[in-house]
Amino acid sequence: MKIKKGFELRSICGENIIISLGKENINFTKVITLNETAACVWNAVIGTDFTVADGVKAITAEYEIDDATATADVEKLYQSWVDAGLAE
Amino acid sequence: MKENYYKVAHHTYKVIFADDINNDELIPSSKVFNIDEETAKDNPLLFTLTVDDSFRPAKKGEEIGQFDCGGCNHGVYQLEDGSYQILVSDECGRQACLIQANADFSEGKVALNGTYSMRTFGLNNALMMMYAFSASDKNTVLMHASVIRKDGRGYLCLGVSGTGKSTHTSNWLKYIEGTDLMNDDNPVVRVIDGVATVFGSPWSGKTPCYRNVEAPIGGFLQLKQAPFNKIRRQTVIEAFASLLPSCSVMKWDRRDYLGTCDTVQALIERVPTYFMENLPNEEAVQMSYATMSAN
Repeated sequence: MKIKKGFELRSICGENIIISLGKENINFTKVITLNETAACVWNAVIGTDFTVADGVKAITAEYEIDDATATADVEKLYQSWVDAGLAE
Repeated sequence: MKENYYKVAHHTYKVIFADDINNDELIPSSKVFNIDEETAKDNPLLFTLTVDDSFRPAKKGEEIGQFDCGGCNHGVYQLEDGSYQILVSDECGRQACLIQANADFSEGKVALNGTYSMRTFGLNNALMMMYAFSASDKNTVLMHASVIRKDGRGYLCLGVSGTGKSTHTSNWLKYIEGTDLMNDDNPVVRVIDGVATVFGSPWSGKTPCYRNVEAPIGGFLQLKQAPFNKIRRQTVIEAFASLLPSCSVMKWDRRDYLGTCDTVQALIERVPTYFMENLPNEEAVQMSYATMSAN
C-alpha cells in the first residue's frame, strides 16, 4: 500500500492535519485529521510501499499494545485511509 | 514607457506601462498606494509587471484547469520551465487579459484587451494574482473577506460569496459606534514580527473601499445565514478549514500552497476564529462585536 501523491501531515496547534496539494488534488477539499497513533503510523510509512506489518511495527515500538490488537487497529486505519482517498 | 511603484501591506511592486495605449488611469484604486521611485529604491521589489498589448501568447503548455472566480474565468496553463500563462475572461466571457509570469511570479507580463472597463478589470486581476502568488512565501496572503475596524483592531468576515459578509460589516458600521470599513473583498493579511495584521488593498470587489490602512487582527468570523443568531469559537481544525479556502492560492503549486499553509497556521496560532450563524440584523452584530472584542 502507498500514500497517494500530494498528501502531507502537519502539526497545527497540537492537531495532526493532512493537507492536500498538487494537480492530482485540485478537487480534494476534505480536511482530515489524525490522532496520535494514526500520525505515528503515517510518519513511519509515508513515502514507502508499506504493509500491515510495517504499521504494527510502528505502533508496538511506541505504545504498549499486543500484536493482535495492533494488527486489527492498523487494518482498520488503512481501510479508513483508502476510504478517504488518501491511500491505495 | 512609464514606471509606477506601489506599496501594499509593506510590499513594494513595480508596474511598467510599456506601450502608448495603457497607463495608470486604468487602476485608479491603486492611486493611494502609489509611491515615488526614490522611496521605492529602499525596498526590495515583490514583483514587476509589464503592461504591453503587443505581446502574444507563448506555447500554451499544460492545462492546469479552468477556474471560476465570481463569474469570471481563469484558464491556467503551466509551461515546462514552471512559468505560467493565464487567460482571464470577464463575466460576459470576453477575454480581458493574458498574463505570463515566471514560476515564482516575481516577473510578469500582461496584454490587455477590449474596452476601458475590461482593461481595468484585466489589469486589476493580473495585479491581484501577481501580488498573491509572489507574496505567498513571505508570510502574506490575499484573503476573500470583508474587514471592519473597531478600537484599533481589524475583524475579518469570511464565507463564500453570498453568505452576507458585506451585510454583516455594513451592520457593524450602522449599529456599532466608531467602526470603519477597511476593505470589503480582498484585504492583505500578514504576520509581521509575530503580529497578525490586516491591510487595505487596491482590490475590494464591488465596494469602492481602497484604503492604505492597517490594524492588528482581533478575530476571524466565519459566517453562515440562519434563522437565528448564534456564535462560538472554532476548533483548530474548523479554523484551518475556514481560513485556507479564503486565501487566494494555487493548490497545484507547491511553493505557493505551502507558503500559504504556513501563514494560515501562524494566523490560527495567534488569532481566535469564530463561527456564526446569523440573521442580517442588529442583534447579530451586537453579538459578534461583544464576543470578539472581549477576547
